[in-house]
Amino acid sequence: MNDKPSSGQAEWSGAWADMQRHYWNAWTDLARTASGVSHDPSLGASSAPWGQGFDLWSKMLGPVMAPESRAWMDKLLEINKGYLKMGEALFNTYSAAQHSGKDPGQWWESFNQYLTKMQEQMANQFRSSKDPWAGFATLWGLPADTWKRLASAWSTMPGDVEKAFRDIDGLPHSGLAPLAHEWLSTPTLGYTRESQEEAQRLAQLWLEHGQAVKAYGDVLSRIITRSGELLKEKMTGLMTKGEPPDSLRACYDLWVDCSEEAHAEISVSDPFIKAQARMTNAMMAVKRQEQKIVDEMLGALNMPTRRELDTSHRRLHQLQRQVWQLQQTLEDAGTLELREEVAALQRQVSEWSAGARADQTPPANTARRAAKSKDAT
Amino acid sequence: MFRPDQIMQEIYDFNHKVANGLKTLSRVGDIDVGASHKDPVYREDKLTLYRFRPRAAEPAKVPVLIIYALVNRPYMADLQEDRSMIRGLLDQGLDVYLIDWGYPDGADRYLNLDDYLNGYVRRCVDFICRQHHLPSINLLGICQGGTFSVCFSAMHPEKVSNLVTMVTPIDFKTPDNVLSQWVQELDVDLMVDTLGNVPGELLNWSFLSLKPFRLTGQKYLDMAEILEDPIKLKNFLRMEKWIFDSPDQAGEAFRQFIKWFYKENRLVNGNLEIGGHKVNLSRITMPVFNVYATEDHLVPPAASIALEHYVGSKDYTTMAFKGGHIGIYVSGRAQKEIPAGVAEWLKNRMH
Repeated sequence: MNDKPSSGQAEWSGAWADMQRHYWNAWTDLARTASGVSHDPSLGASSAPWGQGFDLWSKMLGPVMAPESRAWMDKLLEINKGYLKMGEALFNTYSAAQHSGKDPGQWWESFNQYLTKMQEQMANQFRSSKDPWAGFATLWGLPADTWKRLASAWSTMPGDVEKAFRDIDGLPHSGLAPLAHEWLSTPTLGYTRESQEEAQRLAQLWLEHGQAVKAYGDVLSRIITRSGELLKEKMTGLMTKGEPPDSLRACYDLWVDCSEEAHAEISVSDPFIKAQARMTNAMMAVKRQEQKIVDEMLGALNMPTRRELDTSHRRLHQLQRQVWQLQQTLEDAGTLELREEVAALQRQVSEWSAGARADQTPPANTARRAAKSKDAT
Repeated sequence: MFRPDQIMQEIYDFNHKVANGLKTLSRVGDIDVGASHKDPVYREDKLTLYRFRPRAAEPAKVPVLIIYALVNRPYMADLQEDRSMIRGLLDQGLDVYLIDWGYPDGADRYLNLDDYLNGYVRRCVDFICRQHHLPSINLLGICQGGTFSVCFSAMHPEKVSNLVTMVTPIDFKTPDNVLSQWVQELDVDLMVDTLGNVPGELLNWSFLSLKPFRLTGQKYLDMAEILEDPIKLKNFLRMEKWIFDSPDQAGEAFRQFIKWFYKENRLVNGNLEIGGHKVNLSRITMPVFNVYATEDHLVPPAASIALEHYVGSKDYTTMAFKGGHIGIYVSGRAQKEIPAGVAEWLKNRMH
C-alpha cells in the first residue's frame, strides 16, 4: 500500500477492487490448503463484497473443521463481518469526501452524514420490519441474537420459534391486535373445549410475547440513537483538540465506548428494566403454557409427564432431607453422648487425682511430729 | 485524519491476521484448565470436596476451605500455572480445600439454600474439622460463595476461625447494582416453575448484557490480534471456556437467592432465615478479611464494603483491589497481591 494520498473516485474504486481480489485469493488459498478442496468458481470471487466473503469462505471450510473449532470460527467471522461492514462504510464515506476535492474538513461533514444515514436506516428498518431485532441487532452483532437463540432453545417447539411466530407477533403492530385478542378470547364449546381453550391461551401468550419483544427492541434502539449522539459529540471534541481517530480500529473502539456509555445510561432506566423483564416473563409464560399442552398430550399417550417427574423429584428430595436430618440428629446425639462420657471420665480422673494427692500428702500433725523428731536427733 | 487507502490496508492486515490465526485456532487442541494438583477427599451427590496438595513443607495447621459461587466453575481460581490464586495460596504455605458443586440436573431442582448451606457446606466443614482434629477452620468465599460463607459463619460461628470474602455481595440494593435493578421486575416464581433449573445460558445472557458491545464484539476483535500467538490464544480460550462453562442453577436455591437476597435484601435487613437458622450478621465475631474489586461491574464495591456495618467482629479488614470481577483472579497484579494479602492476614491470626 503506498502512502501517497490518492485522488479520484475511479482510482479508489480500482484500489478497493484490487484489495478485494487479494483478500479473496488469500482466503480461498487458505481454504484450499486446509480443506483439500478446489475453489468453487460459482462462489463468485472478486465480485463478492468483503462481508460476504466470510460467508463463502466459511461454507467452503466449514465441513472439514473440527466441531469445536467451528464454533470459534463462526463467532470470529460473525464479529469480523461487522467490523468489515464498518470499514466499508467508512471507506465509502471518506473516498467520497476525498473525491469532492473540497476542504479537507469535508470528511467530517461526510462522517456526520454517514452517522445520520445509519441511524435513519436503522429506524426505518425497525419501523417497517417484522423482525423485532431489526435496526439494533443488525448493527455489527449484538446479544439480542442470543435472546433469539434462547427463546428457541427453551421452547418445546422445533426450529426458530421466535422467527416462526413473527407473523403472529406482527399482528399487534398491524392494527389487528384487538381483533386477534377478541378472536382468541372467544369462549370454546363442546367436546374439545378444554384443548381449544389451552391452544387459544398459547396464541394469546405468543401475542403478548411479540409485543414484549417489540417493546424491548424499542428501548434497545434508544441505545443506538444515544450512542450515535455521543459519537458525534466525542468526535467533535477530538476534532476540536486536533486529535481525530487515526485508524479504523480507533473509530471502532470509540464507537464501542460510546455505545457502552449509552447502554449504561439507558439500561438502568425504568422503561428498559420493565421492557426487559416483560420480555423474559412473557417468554416464560409461553413456555409454561407449552409445557401444559405437551403434558396433556403425553398423559393421553400414557407417557411420563413433567408434572409426574416434578412430583417424583419433590418426594425424593423430601426423603433425602429427612435422611440428612436423621443423620444429623444421630451424629449430634452421638457427639452429645460422647461429650457427656468424656466429661464423666474427666470428673472421675479429677477425683482419682485428688484422692491420690491426698494419699501422698501426710497429715499436717504427722508432718509436724516428723519435723520435731528430726530436730531432736 | 486517515485516508481511505489506510482503511483498506488496515482491513487487509486484519484479514491477514485472521486467516493466519485460524490455522493456529484449528491446531490449538484441548483447552485445559486447573493448574494445581488436587485430590478428591469427600463426595456427596454432585459435590466434590478437593484438597490441594500443599506446596510448603509445613503447611499451616488450620486449613482454608474455598467456597465458590454456584454460578460458573471454580477452576477460575486455579485457571493456569501463572494465573492461579490457589497456587499462590499454596505457595504461601496454606492448606487449601475447595468445594466443587458440579453440574446440577433436573433431579436437583428442589435443592434449596438450606440444603446447600446447612447441608453440603456444613458437612464439608465437619469433614475437614474431623480430619484435622480441629473445632473450626478458615473459610474463603468467592462472589456468591462469599455470601454463602457469610451466611454460614453467621449461622455456625463456632465452626469458623477466620472469614475471608472476595468480591462478595452483601447489600444487594446499592444504587449501582445493575443486575439487582434488572431482577426486581422479574417473575422468578414463574421462571423457576417453568424452567425447573435455571439454565446457565440465561445467566450468561444477563452477564453479557451488562456490557454487550465490549463482551460480544470488541473482545473478539482483540482476539484477532493474538490469533497468531498460540500461548496468548490459549490463555484467551481458557478464559472463554470459563465464561461459558455455566452450570444450570438448582431451581429452588435460585428462587430463594433472587427473592431473599436480590429482591428483599434480607441479609442486611436482618430478616433472613435459612432452614430455621436466623442469619444474624452480628454473630460474625471471628476476624473478617473482605477483598473487593474497585472496577467490579457485577458486584459493585459498595455492595461488598457494606459488610463492615453489619458484622459483630472487632477484627475487620478490607482490601481494595484495583481491577474488575475477573481480574481479581487472573490479572498479573492479582497474582502478586491477592494470595500474599490473604495469606499474611490469615497467618497473623493463626497463632
